[in-house]
Amino acid sequence: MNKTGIVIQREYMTRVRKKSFIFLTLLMPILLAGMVVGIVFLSSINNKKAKVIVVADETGEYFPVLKNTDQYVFIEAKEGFADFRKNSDESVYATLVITDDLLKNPEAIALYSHKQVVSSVENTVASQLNPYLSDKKLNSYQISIPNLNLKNIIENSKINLKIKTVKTDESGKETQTSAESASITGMVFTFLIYMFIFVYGAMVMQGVMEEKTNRIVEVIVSSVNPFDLMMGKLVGIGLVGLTQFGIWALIFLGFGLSGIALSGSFSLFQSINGLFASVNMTEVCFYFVLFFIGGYLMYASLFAAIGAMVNSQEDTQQYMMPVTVLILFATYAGLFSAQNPDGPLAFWSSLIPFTSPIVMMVRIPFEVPWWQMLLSVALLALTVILIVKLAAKIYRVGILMYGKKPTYGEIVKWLKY
Amino acid sequence: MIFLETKEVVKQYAAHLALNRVSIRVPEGKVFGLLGPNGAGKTTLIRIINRITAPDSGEVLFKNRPLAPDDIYNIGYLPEERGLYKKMKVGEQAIYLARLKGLSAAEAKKRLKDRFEKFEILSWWDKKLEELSKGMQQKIQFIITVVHDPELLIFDEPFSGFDPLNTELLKNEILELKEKGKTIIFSTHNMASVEEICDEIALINRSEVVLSGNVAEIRSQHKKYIFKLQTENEHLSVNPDYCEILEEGKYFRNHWFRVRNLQDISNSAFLSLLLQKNEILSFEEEIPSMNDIFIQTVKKK
Repeated sequence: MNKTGIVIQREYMTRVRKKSFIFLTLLMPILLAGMVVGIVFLSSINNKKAKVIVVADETGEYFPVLKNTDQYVFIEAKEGFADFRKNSDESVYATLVITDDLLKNPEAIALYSHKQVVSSVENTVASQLNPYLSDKKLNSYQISIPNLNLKNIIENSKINLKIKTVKTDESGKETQTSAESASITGMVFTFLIYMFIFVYGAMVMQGVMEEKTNRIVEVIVSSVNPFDLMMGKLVGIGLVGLTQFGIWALIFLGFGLSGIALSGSFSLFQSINGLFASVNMTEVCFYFVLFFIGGYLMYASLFAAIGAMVNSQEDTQQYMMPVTVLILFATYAGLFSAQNPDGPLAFWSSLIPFTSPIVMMVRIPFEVPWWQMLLSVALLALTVILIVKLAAKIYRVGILMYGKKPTYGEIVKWLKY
Repeated sequence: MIFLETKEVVKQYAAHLALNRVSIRVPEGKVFGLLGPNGAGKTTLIRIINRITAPDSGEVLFKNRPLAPDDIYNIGYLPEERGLYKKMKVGEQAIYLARLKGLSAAEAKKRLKDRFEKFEILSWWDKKLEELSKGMQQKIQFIITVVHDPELLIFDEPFSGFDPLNTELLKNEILELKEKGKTIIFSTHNMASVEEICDEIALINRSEVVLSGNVAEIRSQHKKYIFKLQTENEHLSVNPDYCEILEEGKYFRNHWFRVRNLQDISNSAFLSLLLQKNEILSFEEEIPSMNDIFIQTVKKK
């Protein structure tokens, strides 16, 4: 095995075997799934406890119209509204006061509560009273045409518009899409690639710093040339990242399959499956891996150079700032691009190599023209080669420089050594 | 035979000239001392020999041919600033470093286990490095340095951080390596150890070799013709033309004198001149220690 291979093996094995890695990799999806299930569960508990609404109906006409629902129970007020203010019965959620004929005076209805009333109370009341009121209004016109039921005519004349979004490809094949699911997929993967680049880039920096501050690097570079050592580290840690992504993908696939099996009984999975059915997940994952490799190599080699420059953790801040700002900018550009995946921000930042790995993830579910994809990947590849070369020069000098932290001027000089 | 030779090696760092036309010749099977004050350029020279950095000009010859990339398999290097992975198990990292020096995984494991057994530290194999004391870590690093059985060994300040017991152990190991015919380059400030174990030295000061050669020869070249003698008599009667009394004192019942031989005559001729008028109990030439030579040479510049 060549030496880069030996280095890759060590970097990979020591990290993959760490308890923290195993723990995080296996626990993260379970935590996420647990959170979703927990939220669904908690909100369903909430639904079962019906809230009491006291109805003070002075007309006596509307109370019988209101039907109890799962969430709300309507009780007729025994006293008048005036008594309500003094009465601070905790079991009463709100009081609905109706003072006049609502056809003549639609504003004669009000909800009183000690707390801010949730909008669903309003909606429930309105949806129950509205049909009654419109019927009554209709009847008040006293129109009678033989053999015709006016109510049915009006009912039939209502048209409910349902807009489907359909994507067509060149062969004319139609796929039903959902803009929403595409943008959610894009955002999830943007966030994921941001996280992977940042976490694994920082891991490279830690690794380089560990070797430098331990001084073991001097022994290692007496057997391996510094470029091979750096590449071994980059590749080894990158593979750890891909392993983690692979495991997560498998776990979610497992969840998805069991979700399909359960979907009859569990509507949540049904909706998730429906959401992603329209996005080509294989394609998204392929590009995720591709752009992760590019973005990771670019940023991680910068992080490796930073790790080589400094002598202690505290010194890293100053040099990490510009890199962190770049990555954060890319992430925000990505999140904003989700609103308008074909806009100028999305277009340019998905071509510029420093932002493209992150921003492109938002655009991929929306079908990127092939030439833009090719250009983006080519630019990224070129930049990676350039950055890795520059970083290697800084790395080579930096790992053997102890003492004070270098100035930016000195670092430029290192490039010329 | 000359095992390793540097010829007119120059290394420039930005504004600082680290090595200025440095030439050293390391004979095969000898212990070669690389001496010099801090910042003189020793570590830079060692890094060039290890191919960690490249010289700006000049060349390094390994067994009379230019140093090649694969020669590093034949070099064992113990740097001054020692360190290993703190969180990694001792055995694992020893195997890793041995593999980087060209051993196969199986061979590395076998040899390391043997060495660990010899040093009676096999129980450390599965411990993390950070669980061991500093002295233990140094021992492990020494084993790692020699495990691939290189012909050339480079020790940069090997005794720093060792207690006297381990220093003795290490010294014996180094001499044992020499007996096996290994060539050893040995960088140090510790002049006493130079006299004990070095055959040849080169003294580097301010980027240049200011003194080099065989230790015994250098010491005799630097002698100042000063002798220490003891007499029963309080007075030493000498002819001021050939002998100058520098110091005198009482030592129990006897007296001692430090005298300098002013004529260019041999020690025995000088002694016979003294014996003509005095009864001499002991006669000893003061040979300058490497420490004195070091200080004298470095200060002169």
